[in-house]
Amino acid sequence: MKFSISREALLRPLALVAGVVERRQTLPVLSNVLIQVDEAQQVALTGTDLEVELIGRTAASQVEAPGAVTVPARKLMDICKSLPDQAELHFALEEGRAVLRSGRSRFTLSTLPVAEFPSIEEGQGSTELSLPRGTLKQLIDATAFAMAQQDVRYYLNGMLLELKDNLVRTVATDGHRLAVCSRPADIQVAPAQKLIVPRKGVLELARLLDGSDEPVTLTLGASHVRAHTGDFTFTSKLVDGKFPDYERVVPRGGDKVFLADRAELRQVLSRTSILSNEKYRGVRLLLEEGNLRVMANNPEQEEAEENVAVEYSGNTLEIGFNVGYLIDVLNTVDDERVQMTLSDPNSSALLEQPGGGDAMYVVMPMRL
Amino acid sequence: MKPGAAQLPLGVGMRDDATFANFLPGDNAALVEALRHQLDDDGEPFLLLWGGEGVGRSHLLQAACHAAGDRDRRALYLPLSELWHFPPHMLEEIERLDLVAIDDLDRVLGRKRWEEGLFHAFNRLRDAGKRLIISAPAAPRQLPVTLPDLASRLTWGMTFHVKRLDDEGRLEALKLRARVRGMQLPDEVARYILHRGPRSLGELCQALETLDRASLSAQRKLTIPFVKQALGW
Repeated sequence: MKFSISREALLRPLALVAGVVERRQTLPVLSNVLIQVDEAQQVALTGTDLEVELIGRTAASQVEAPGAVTVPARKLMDICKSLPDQAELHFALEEGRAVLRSGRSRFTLSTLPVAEFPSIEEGQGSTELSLPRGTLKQLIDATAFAMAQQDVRYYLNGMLLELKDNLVRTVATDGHRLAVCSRPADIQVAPAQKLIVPRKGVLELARLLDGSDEPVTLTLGASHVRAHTGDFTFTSKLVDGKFPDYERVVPRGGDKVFLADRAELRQVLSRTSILSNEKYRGVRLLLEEGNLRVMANNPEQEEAEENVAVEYSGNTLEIGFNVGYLIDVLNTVDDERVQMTLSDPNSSALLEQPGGGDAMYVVMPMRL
Repeated sequence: MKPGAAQLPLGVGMRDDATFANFLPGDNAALVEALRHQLDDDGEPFLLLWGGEGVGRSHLLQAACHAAGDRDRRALYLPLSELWHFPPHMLEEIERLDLVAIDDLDRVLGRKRWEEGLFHAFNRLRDAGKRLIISAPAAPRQLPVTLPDLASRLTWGMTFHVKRLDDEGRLEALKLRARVRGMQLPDEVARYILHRGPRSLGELCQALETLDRASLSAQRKLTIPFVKQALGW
């Protein structure tokens, strides 16, 4: 194998593909990136952790000998990043080692056999559909923060992707809060599909998507989902299991509804949170006619209190929340104002755009 | 903030209804088979299940009703341990249903109106070709039935002794129930719960429900110290 490629042509696909590669691996070859070069000057880069696989395609400037090799992904990326702009890179396989030359630099990298590099089984794709990349990105960005990190329930460590006729929906929850976002889309899916994409797959997929109207093609299989966007092919295993019924969790009939300026409320909460208990991050909200008082204190007996004007007329309510959960929602709501619906100190709060929008956020209170 | 501060969990845990999918048959495979096929054309019209406390009789009766519902058949589960102090009006026109599951028959034995009501319900169900399941803590002939006609009817069907799971079976059953809830229950923790917890599987499953909620609230894994703390052991 011998080819040349410009640093710029290699860097973006390499950075995305290397993102899939885990730092700690059980199998040595999984820390490598697979590089395949063909006569048509196509270069394909593949990274995998057995759950998520990403293939990025780019063009070589010259191919002397097509072939394939696997080299350590992070080291290759760090080298490419630190080479000067517009540098031309010359790759060659010499005596089982990969030699990378550029200008007056030379790097010799270890390789592992291409045959050892695992590829995710090409599953039977039953349904194929296209969405604007921007739509899918928006759906993921609106909900991804609520996914669980390492919950004992495997189905919470991911995102529900629901596809049905003319509608796409994402749902994520960590058991304390839940985010749902629905968007109309020009798709026909019968019967409706519900997939749970694991957390890592969701985060990597979001990195691939830009906000454009260009299509992303999704292939839905029984155990995998595949996404094609121009130069990238992303495959993720699915979480086997059922996702909680989000309809059961979204509160209905809360009678205390107030409107606040989103940015102002977020600032008030961030400031107050400085003096909240570092572990629980609890803040107390006191909702009164036209005013919301936010209070926090910590084990050192330090206290913060802020007042913010809200549109509200009704009974007084005092309720506690993990301030981080409220701030996460306020960072995401796509409006200048936010509407919050409460009923009592033990029931969940509903946050959304005034009058309701694409996204709904449910946050459970804390007992303070 | 007081030390009792706690994040309340959302109701996103999985429901663990009693179904055939989360019943570990153990030595009861023939019984489960008979229950699963009872609604088929050649299914048994009447099954009687007997066995000790906590062997899974209620689970099986509820599972049969859920399975009937999945087949768009109408089923009714009657737990007599909760209904015995009502008059037996609920047995009227019961033959309009496809399947009736009567749990804990012993709770109404010796009560004249109930025994008569059950006798007539039995006859009407049989005439209408509908299915009946009855559970009791002892074999039909050992039950203290006052009405001789009812006593004889109880021996008409197919009778099964529900057998208790052995320790390995109980371990497997507990892990299965945890899995249905989406929880990973390590072997050593499951063994600890079985060793320290209640004898009956039903009560163990209630303990799992408590653990489910507690781990959702605390976002903790199921370790022995966490189980001790959550269940107050």
